[in-house]
Amino acid sequence: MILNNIKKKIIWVIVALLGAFAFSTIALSRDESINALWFITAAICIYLIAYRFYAAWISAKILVLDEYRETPAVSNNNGTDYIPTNKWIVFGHHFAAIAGPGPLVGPTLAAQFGYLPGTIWILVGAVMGGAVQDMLILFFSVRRNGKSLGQMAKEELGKVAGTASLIGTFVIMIILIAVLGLVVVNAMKHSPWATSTVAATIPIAIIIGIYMRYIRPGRVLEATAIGIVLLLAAVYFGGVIDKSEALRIYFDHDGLFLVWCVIIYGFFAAVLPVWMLLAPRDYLSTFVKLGTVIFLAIAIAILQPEIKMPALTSFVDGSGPIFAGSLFPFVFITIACGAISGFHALISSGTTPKLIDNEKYIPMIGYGGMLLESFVAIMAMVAACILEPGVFFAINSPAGVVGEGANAISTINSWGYPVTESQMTQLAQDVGESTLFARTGGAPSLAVGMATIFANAFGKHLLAMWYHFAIMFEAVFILTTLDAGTRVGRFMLQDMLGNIHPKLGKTSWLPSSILTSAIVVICWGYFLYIGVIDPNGGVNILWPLFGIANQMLAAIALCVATGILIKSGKFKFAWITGIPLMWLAVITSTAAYQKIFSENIRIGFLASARSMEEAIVQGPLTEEKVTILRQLIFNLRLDATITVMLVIILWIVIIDVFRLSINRKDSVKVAF
Amino acid sequence: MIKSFWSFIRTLSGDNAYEEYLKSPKTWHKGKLLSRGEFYQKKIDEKWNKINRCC
Repeated sequence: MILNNIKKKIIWVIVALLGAFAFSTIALSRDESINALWFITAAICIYLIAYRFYAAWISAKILVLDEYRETPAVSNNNGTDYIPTNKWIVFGHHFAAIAGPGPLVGPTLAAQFGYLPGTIWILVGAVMGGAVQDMLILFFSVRRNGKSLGQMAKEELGKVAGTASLIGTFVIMIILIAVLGLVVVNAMKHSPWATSTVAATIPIAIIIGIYMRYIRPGRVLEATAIGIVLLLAAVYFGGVIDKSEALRIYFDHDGLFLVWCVIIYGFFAAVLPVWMLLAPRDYLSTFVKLGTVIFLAIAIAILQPEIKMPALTSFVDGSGPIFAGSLFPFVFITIACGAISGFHALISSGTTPKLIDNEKYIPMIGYGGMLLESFVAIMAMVAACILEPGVFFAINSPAGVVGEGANAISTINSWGYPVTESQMTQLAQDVGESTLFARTGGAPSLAVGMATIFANAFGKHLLAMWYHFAIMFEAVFILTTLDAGTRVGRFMLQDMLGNIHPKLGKTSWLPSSILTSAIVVICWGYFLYIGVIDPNGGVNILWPLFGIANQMLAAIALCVATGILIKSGKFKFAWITGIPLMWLAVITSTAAYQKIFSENIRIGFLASARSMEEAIVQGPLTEEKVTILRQLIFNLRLDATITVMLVIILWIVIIDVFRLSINRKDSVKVAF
Repeated sequence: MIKSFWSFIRTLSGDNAYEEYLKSPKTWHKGKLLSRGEFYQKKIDEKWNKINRCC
């Protein structure tokens, strides 16, 4: 017994020392290449310690989890939404729900600051912020019969907070879908191979949808296995199409055409019955996602690639080509998912609390699920940083910032990152693309990174296949998020419109479905369209906007959690959510302020709008150019308005919590 | 070991959901027994009427 205890302690001391050593290796190394394995080691050790000590301490001392208390899944078991479920199954569902494309894209973009800032934020943000938020919201929802974040905000903080979280959720959904649509469009632009492969995923989803609904109903695994074989075939035949002069022209399109395709697709995906497209696509994307993430971890472990990106780049000053803005606050806005994501609070107060059959599994599912997502973000960071920095910037910098071809090369070289035109041409040829310059959005560079890792670990000659497999992998679940998000947006809108006219609130009434789906698609389609016509690459505007919106929702979730802690007489422990809350309030407010008022036209919405107006006045410009500029000016002002709205919502909710903490009566203890 | 892993995958994906539905004593008391197709339809409709995919 005592010996066992000592053994355990020794093991934890070793984990702590190993973690500290690995972390200091990545943090202190300058001008010498370091191995990616240190990232993995540092991350795993930090997660283990945080889970074993911080999460366990919160569960035991603050939440006082009670394994003998009935959970809603048990007490309300109705076989439909409340179902007591095995903990690993709940963990699987919860992880599949929270982990989307966000943790892959964010770190890739944030790598422009160097590997260190993003990595520290992913690790610290997750263990101190994101995982705590997910676990606490899950716990409070379990104790409140599975109530949603919006309901809890309304009941615990008041009507204003409830409405705020509802509006926030809708805004995030719209911007998230637009920016993800942009990522897919940028990956398919003038790439017949990528476009044909992504297009093929639609009929494949429909085929296995029909299979699962009518041919062999409910045989999910069979159907998914067939679907995955078909997807791999689509990647292969995409290459055949790309090589055929006759066929490739059908799939060689510019961004604007692809925007319309995505918009029309999104509309149909929201209106068509779920069995046809959404459900089968989701089965495929979930399996491909889990498989690829595991595969990537194994490949990194086998290959142990060297990190080529420096710890810090000169772009910490805000002059970065991928997105403008200095390290503080923009690294914390760019990496939302993977460190802390408000969206998770919707899942933690949605399906998951209705499945947990015992409170004691809450840390594993809530805290542990977020740690795994954070790990995915670390792997995305590694995949971005094993590229030569010159190549990384050539792929990710928009032409509007660095110029085209030879100009781009000389600009990037002038930053001190060597890359040559022939090197880029060779790389493009190797991965089967016509060019890799200015392939913004993060997906192509992540795909090049992943393909490099896979090809080196499992067969070098297949680089082009791996690249397009990676693009297909990203596109498949970005489109799932797009389908599911549009559908949920439609339901939210129908719910709101139902208050005006009851019939509009009926989700089964077709005219209402068509109307509300069209409204939602127009909302995100607009931002997507603007993102594509923007010469600086829409990512510079849309991704920070998404980050601000997502962090604002996280701040609302943390407000709810802090409010409940205070009300329950746990004021002295309220810092566990209070500190992340203050941090988010500071970074979102600072980022929002800079995005609105900065004089730098690449950062400030208003300054940028002003400079475009001046350009129109000064002229002479073609009529077409003036039209585009006017659209961009309108959009910049709209973005500024949305940002102001988000910040106002945030501070209203924070003031609510502040009031609560001043008026608190420590003697009164309300149970959680 | 392999058997339990397989049954985990089946449960996680919902592959055996209908078999579980038939086994569950509660279902027999709720009127009409759903066919495989109807049950699958009901499951996915319930799954996709709320937020269950994230960023």
